[in-house]
Amino acid sequence: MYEPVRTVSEFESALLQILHCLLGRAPLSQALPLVLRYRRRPVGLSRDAAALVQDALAKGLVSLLVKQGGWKRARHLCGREVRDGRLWQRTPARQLGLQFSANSLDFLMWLTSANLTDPKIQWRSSVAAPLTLGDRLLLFLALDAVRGSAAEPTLAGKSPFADHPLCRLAFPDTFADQNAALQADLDFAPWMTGTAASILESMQDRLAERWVELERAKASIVSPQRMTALAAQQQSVLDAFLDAAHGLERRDLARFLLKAASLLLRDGCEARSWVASLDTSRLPLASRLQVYQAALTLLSQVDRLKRWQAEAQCVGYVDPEYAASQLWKSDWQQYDGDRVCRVAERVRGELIPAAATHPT
Amino acid sequence: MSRAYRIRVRESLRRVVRAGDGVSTQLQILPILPVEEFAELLARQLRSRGFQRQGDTASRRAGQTTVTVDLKTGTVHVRAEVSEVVDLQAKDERRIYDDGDPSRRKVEASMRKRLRENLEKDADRLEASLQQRVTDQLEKQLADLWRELDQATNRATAEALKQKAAQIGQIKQMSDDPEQGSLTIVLEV
Repeated sequence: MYEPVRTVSEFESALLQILHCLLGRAPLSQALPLVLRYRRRPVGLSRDAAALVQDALAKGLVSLLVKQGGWKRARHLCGREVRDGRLWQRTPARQLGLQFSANSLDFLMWLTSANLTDPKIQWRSSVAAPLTLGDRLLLFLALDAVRGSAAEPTLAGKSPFADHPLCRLAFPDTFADQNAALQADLDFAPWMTGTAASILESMQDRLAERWVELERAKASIVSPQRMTALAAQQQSVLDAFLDAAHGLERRDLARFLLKAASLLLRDGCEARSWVASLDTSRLPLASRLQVYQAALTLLSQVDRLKRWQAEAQCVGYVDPEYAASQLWKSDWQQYDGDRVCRVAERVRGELIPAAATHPT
Repeated sequence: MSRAYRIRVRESLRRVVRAGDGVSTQLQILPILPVEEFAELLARQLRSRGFQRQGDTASRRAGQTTVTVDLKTGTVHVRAEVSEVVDLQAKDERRIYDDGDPSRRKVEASMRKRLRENLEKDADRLEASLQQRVTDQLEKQLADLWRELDQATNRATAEALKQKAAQIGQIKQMSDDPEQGSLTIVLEV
């Protein structure tokens, strides 16, 4: 069927290019110059531009989630049942729909018109509707795109990014870099069900890679303050996430942590690799040990995953959470959780003998 | 008429620089026996490792490091302290041209003051360096020290288990592997 050629303005063309970059259809290097300059914002978009944005979001986000990991066969919980298959095989397509509100359009227009090198500006939606899951996913992609660039301070550390659970979970280092306040009330409960949970399911590999990257990057941290700030962000988000996953019986969504720990904690790994560049020369011993403890934040979460394993082993065949416990035990075996715990204990013991931290 | 003067000043500083650092931690004591009884078992283990008992504590000094264990609570204090006498000297020389004594005295006083300030800074730097050495040394000792205390606690715990088992029933069989950290007691009740 012949589709009419759609005509858009220069502003709308820039907006569409930015959107395509966020959706992974074009290199991010093409988007950055566009968001780092001021452009006069029009009152609204043309019908053609709006249709193209709608089309890009509808197809692009689905494609992105599939490419990120949705295509892989995986086992995840659906209610109390374990389902095996690709994302759209585990969950019917009609339940995977993403809704976008006018907030997404407003955000894209702001992204296109504002000069993101100005850290004082902030996106405040002019739309009175609450953010939908689709809106939040778009915000996540935007933060991911600008990390490490001059635009990062303008987004990170400010609402709605600062209280965006998925952003916090994937990018604790970004929030540490921007000295963002810790969020005491990060709510992961909405991410444990429905389409949001499906997004987390498809992002398992991505999240595992991110956390491996985070931990390995600690080898180049020099400042104890930086290490402590990063650890605080990690601890805060993991506490909230794991509380929600445990409470709402979606331990399968924490699989990425087990995978990351398994990749990091190999039998020959050394404790010093976490603190290789850390300059603790001016710190008293108690403070040094506290910084080391901070550096090993992920390893301390392994204890929690071990408790989950112990709980799963006590679940009987007739218990309602039997399927969930079997799935967790299967993950534990796949990622050699016993070895992970053993190595974590050894590594912690090398750096922090008996949690000696109180000064005398 | 101006005259040329060479002013030489010399200052010295003698100071005792002190550095110290310490941490405390907790032994893992299981409530198998009453506190006093377990304290005796722990004291016995620590004595065999060079600790001296003083009432409810046992302590050991090795070099600049003192380890003190509270036998009842299991709290361990580790402290290292060191002091050194530093003798620092400095000198300075300047040539001035002046027309009278007051100017010369003023310059000399200023030179001495600067030398003393520099010596104080040097002494401060030496003190900071000594502090870092003490902390580094203590950090290196901590892992081995903890392993030793952990072994002592494990042996005391094993003895406590044997005593407790003997109170419950008749011990038919016992196998104790300190290296593996395992103890198996078969009881007849």
